[in-house]
Amino acid sequence: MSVPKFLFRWRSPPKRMGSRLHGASGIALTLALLTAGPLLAQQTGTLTGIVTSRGTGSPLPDVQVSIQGTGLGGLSNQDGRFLIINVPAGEQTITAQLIGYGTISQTVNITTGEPVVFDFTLSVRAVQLDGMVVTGTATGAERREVGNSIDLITAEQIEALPVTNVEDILRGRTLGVTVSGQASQPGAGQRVLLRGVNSVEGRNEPLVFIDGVRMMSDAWEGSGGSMGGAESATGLAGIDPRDIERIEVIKGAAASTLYGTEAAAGVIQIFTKRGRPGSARWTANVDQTVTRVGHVGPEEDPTGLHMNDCTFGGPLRPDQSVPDPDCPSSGTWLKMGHGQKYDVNVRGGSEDITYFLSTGWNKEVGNMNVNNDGAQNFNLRGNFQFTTFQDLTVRLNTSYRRQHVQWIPMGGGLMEDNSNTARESLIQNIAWLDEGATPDNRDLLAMDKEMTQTVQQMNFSANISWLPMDNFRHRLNVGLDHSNSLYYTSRPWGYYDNPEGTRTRDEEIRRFLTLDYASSFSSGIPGLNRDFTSVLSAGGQYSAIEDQGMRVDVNTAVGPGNWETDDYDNITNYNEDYSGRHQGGFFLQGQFGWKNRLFLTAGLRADSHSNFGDELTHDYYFLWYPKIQTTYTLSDHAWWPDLWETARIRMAYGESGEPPPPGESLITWRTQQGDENTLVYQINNGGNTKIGPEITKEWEVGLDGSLFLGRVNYTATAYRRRTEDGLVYVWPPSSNGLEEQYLRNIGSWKAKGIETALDVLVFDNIDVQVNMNGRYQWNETRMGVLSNDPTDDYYVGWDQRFKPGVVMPAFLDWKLQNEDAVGELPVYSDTMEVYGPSYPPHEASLGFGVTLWNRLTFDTFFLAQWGHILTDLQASYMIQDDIGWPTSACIDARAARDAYDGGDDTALTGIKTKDLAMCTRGYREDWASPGDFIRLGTVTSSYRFPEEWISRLPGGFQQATVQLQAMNLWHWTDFPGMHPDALYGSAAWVDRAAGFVLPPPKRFTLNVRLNF
Amino acid sequence: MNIRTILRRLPALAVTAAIAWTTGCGIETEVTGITADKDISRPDLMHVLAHGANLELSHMHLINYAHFTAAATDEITNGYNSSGSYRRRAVNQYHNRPDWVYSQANESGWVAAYAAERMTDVNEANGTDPSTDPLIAHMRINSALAYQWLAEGQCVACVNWGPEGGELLKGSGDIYDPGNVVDSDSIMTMAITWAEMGGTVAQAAISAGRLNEYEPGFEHFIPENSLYASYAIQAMGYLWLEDYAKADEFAAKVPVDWAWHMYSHEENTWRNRWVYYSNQWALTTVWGSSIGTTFRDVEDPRIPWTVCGEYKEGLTVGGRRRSSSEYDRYTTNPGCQTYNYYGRYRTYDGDLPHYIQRKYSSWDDELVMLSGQEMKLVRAEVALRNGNLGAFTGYINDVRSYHGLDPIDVPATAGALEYPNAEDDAWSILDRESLFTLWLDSRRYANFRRWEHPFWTGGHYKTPDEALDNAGQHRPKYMRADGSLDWCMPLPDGEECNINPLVRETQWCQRLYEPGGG
Repeated sequence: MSVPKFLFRWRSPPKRMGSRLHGASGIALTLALLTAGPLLAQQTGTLTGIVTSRGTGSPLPDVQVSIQGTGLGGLSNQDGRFLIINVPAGEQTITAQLIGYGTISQTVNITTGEPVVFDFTLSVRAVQLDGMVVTGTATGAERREVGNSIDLITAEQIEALPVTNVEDILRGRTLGVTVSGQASQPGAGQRVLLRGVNSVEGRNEPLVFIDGVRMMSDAWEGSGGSMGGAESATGLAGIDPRDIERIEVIKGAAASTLYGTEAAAGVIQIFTKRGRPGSARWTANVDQTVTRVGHVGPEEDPTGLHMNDCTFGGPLRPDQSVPDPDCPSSGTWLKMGHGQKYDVNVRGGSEDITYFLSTGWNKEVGNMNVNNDGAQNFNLRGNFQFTTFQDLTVRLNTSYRRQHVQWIPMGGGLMEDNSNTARESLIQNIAWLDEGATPDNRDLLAMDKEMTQTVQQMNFSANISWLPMDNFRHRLNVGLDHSNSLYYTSRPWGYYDNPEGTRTRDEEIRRFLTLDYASSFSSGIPGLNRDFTSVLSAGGQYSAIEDQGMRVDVNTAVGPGNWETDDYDNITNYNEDYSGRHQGGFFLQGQFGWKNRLFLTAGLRADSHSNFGDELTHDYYFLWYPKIQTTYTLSDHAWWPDLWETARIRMAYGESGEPPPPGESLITWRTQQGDENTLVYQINNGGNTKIGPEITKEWEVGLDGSLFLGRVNYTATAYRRRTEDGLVYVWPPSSNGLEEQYLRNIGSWKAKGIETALDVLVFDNIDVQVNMNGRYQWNETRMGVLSNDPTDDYYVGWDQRFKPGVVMPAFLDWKLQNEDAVGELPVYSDTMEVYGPSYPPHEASLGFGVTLWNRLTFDTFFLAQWGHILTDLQASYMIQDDIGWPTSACIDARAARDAYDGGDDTALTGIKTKDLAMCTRGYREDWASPGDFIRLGTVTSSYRFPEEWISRLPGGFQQATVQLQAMNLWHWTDFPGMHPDALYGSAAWVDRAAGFVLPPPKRFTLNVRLNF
Repeated sequence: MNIRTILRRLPALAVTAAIAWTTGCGIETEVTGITADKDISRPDLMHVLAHGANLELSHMHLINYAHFTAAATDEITNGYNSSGSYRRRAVNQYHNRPDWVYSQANESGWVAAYAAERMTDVNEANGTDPSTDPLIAHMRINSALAYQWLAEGQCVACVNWGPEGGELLKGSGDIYDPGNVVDSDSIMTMAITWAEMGGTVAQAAISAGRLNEYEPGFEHFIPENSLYASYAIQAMGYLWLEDYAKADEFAAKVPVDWAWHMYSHEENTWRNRWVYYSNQWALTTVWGSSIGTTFRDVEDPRIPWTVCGEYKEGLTVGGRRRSSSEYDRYTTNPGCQTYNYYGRYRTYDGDLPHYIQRKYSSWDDELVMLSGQEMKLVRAEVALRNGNLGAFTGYINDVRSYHGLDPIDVPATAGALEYPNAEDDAWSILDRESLFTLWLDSRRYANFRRWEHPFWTGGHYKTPDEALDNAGQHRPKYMRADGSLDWCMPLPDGEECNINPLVRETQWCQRLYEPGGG
């Protein structure tokens, strides 16, 4: 029997819990095992059908449909259709599975003659036990073969979320991930950590690869950092979520071993969408969003720190009966924000070439009633796949994005202007009243400072997959990620605080070049029966990373106008820097399987990095990172009780590294001007020619399983991590002759944690599906050795420190000793004490979803963090600046303290000492409080219009869905400050503090999606 | 070659490229804005390196040394919040000022030695003779000076880079190579050795005719200067070690008009700390010092100072800050400042009348580190110890004559050191002449230690404030290596004790001798 090439393509026989998809070539419409000669002699039939998503009704391509025990199977096409021929007649068990969705098995009676039609619906599962994941090798691996936990989020999950960026996607939906803080301004990104803080001097953020190529994902240095501003843009937040096919979060050293040095903090792999053979399939989205900042500050204050209402006095200024002179005519400093997003993509192609093209534009105006605060984004992507040759697949992925943000000059942006007055002007202009404010709109003038940032990022990657033999695969990823940020801060001529005006230009450029080759060879094991399998993998990676920066500060504008930096009289600072570093390595890995039940994987990676010291590379040349993993599927045994369905235990150990910063291995000198205008050299950095990477060693054990016909999926992981050779700055003893701190590999710290998730399909019939899912994670990272000086601690910022024996980072300060007292003056400890960790050790989420008639959905998502300590900068600085805090407790305490200081010894009677500390002293430690919160993170509802309605519309529409999405509708907290999840500062900062930023706004989005 | 062939070969090319990169073909981090160690091994940069070594030696911490030791002796009175504390407590581990001196002395010694090593290598690479290189001689003197000061200040110190060599910077295989404890005599011995090395090279440079290898204005690189410095350091060293004959021998080789200044300051307001302390901020005052009390009426060009403010009659320093109305102001007197807070007539803290020192009044005034005048005083002391009062008087008069002062008569007796100074016997004359000649040049602290000066042994002057606050307290002593006690600087906590595992648990890092316990 001959089969046309365009219809059939040979594939490996599927396995029980999922088959090897052989990745990128997945364009087949149908698959049949043509060599199954004996089957041809039997009575056979044909099975066909459509696989759709349970939630959206959309057809699902690439679903692996297989017939158990026959070796027959195939992939669904772009329309979700599958076709399997030569199926033996009689009852057959059909299994359908897709990455990110639950597996479904049904019994079907195959008859000869007419094809048997059988349709499947698959549901997205929050906890996924099966499917392929990328592990750094050429083929990827099935989950049952992998010893470490890997989280995965699919495009369908993403499309159902009211998210603005990737960080929103990861927050609470991926185990082990902590997203620190929540954006309050359009364009802001957050800090992402995997399994807690991992380094003192190195990077703590995971590496991010997009289509196999490393990308700039971190916060820009100037943004929220050296250029002021209260929040920052990140590379990760710039990715359009609707371009994403799936995200894999790879945690733990065992997983990241194959990524080598720099991967100690974990890896996030993002895969963008690709085309599929068939006619062009268009998808268009229109989003309209409104945002609203609720009440600001204490509920007792009807003015909301004069942000919500600046027309009268409020608790802090009860005598004020007329609007502040600066108050906008609307009577509030806040306004309704508005966002609009339009994107369209098209995918399609032929057997040989497929394409996915997308573009999108969005603009969001923020919530401050000044300036044009807000952000605009433009995205363009083109992904192409060439399968001209049967054994060779080439994917080319290109993208460009441009983001323009107008930041609000709050927080540090104003603090730097005038630390005692302008700082308050963001949140309240009441401070002006003390100075006899005149109607000159000084707040508006303060806000006249412009902080604009434009980020451009281009990413190009080529993924070449060559399959010379069915069991021998080569994969090559080559790519370049180029990004730059241009940030201007301008105080115009006539600026209230600096009438001559200033302007700062900060430009950063980052480039990542990735070259990644891997090959895998699958076979049995010679001398052993077919129960034994092996996959040998080898490969090597090289990456070059360049950072370039330039900054110029000028002052004294020559007059009003929109000046360039050239137009100013003085350059007060000019600075440029560049570093280029290289990393390369090889790996060898062997995976051995037995009965598709037991898998043992051992690997070794050799790595070198140009930031290592010369002596280190001379003596060792390569650093070796080993890994070993094993998994065992208990439920494959006959004795396994059916009630318990499937269960797999796993264990993994691995090592990975974090390199020192550039230049630390070098002895460097600085030039200086001596007297008589002589040039002199002074030693700048003693250098450390033996400097090497931090080595992170991590164990994890886990259990995954399902119960009740797959209705309950669960996973649990426990891990322990130890970092040795930690990079810390130490002072050499003076007798060493050097007087400069230098980095040395003497630190150590350790972490432990657990991660659990449960996904329950509570009710499921043809009309109604109810599911719940929950996640809980706990992490504790504790400092061991920080320095060669046992008395040392390391100040991170905002009273947070790394300190030996203490969780890292911890909030440390002098502590109120009589906080439960009444009528007493505050008494503080003589030495600094630990308040608690500044990162939340506990995080949990709970999701609840209902699907009705396969087209109407309701989803809610709660997030909670607790166990950490947070201080509030806004409140503490308002107290210190003698403005006060508008709660009755604070107002009473302040009055009592004033009376007491005036000689009334009885004035403190009945006043809580804690209130005295917070409201009259107001240091950061006085406001350090548990930052626990529970938040109703998202609420969504979607409705997919009946297809028969849609098809009647002109224009060839196939599907239309409308979604209502809401974020941040409600939260609960005991935190006394502004908001426990609105954090001040750059996403690059390790320290955390609340205040100086607006609370995260409530977001309401209407999304209409059309497929045609 | 078709595209398929090319694509098929891509993996192999990639592997080859990766191997090439990771096996050392240019895998180096490139960082701009730095001067790497390898960049400065050029003959034309050796002067720059030498300037840098000079700057380390004269860095503010060592200039601080002059201030700190002056306040710890009777040279000057320290105002502001450390008022009297150096004098009352001398030093304890909590003071960061002696920490800075300690660390800066170590760094200065090392940097100069490291520079000399590099200069030797560069000379050899360029076919020139390092044994006659004036810059190397100068660097050896720098190391010797640093160690001389370390010995004079410390009872014990940790030392790593001795003149006996070893591979500099590498130590015992790690850059992080802390030193072991040695006593001040041993440190001084090292200083002498380094001075000998410098002298040898300087002598060879002179013999080789390398007399003019310096930039205009930097005559201190003249080998003759290094040679005299070598003699002077050895004289001071042997005096410290109580080998008076050798001290006299080397002191005799130095002409009275020769001096070694604190060269190559940073070009900023730190470069002469006396101007900073007394003129700009009025942190110090001559009021209450020996010069402001015992020798208040002495007219001597070596100790120029001016009364800029005075308590009103009947007022003394008290338990509270004096208001401005309680001062008589003489700010129009020569040298008094007309700017800056209280500095016009009282110290910055407002507590003390400002008697401004005028020995150093310009940022460009160079402090004197070594001088022929001091060598005369060394010889005078040796003569005095030998009972030769005539010779003693001759050396004293050499100094006085150098300053245009009338000679003194031969004293009747050798006498003894007293406080306040009795002014009539030979020891009192030596004490006075030494104070006047070396005033504010960081030299008196060492003499006080050697002489066990009565100012330190209970008879010291107390300001009324000190008397109120610290009645009966003595300065602490710290342990010498032999277990005996001495007035000196302790091993600093932060700089050495906490981070040098070789001494962390030893007796020198135990706080056995808290302030007031001596």
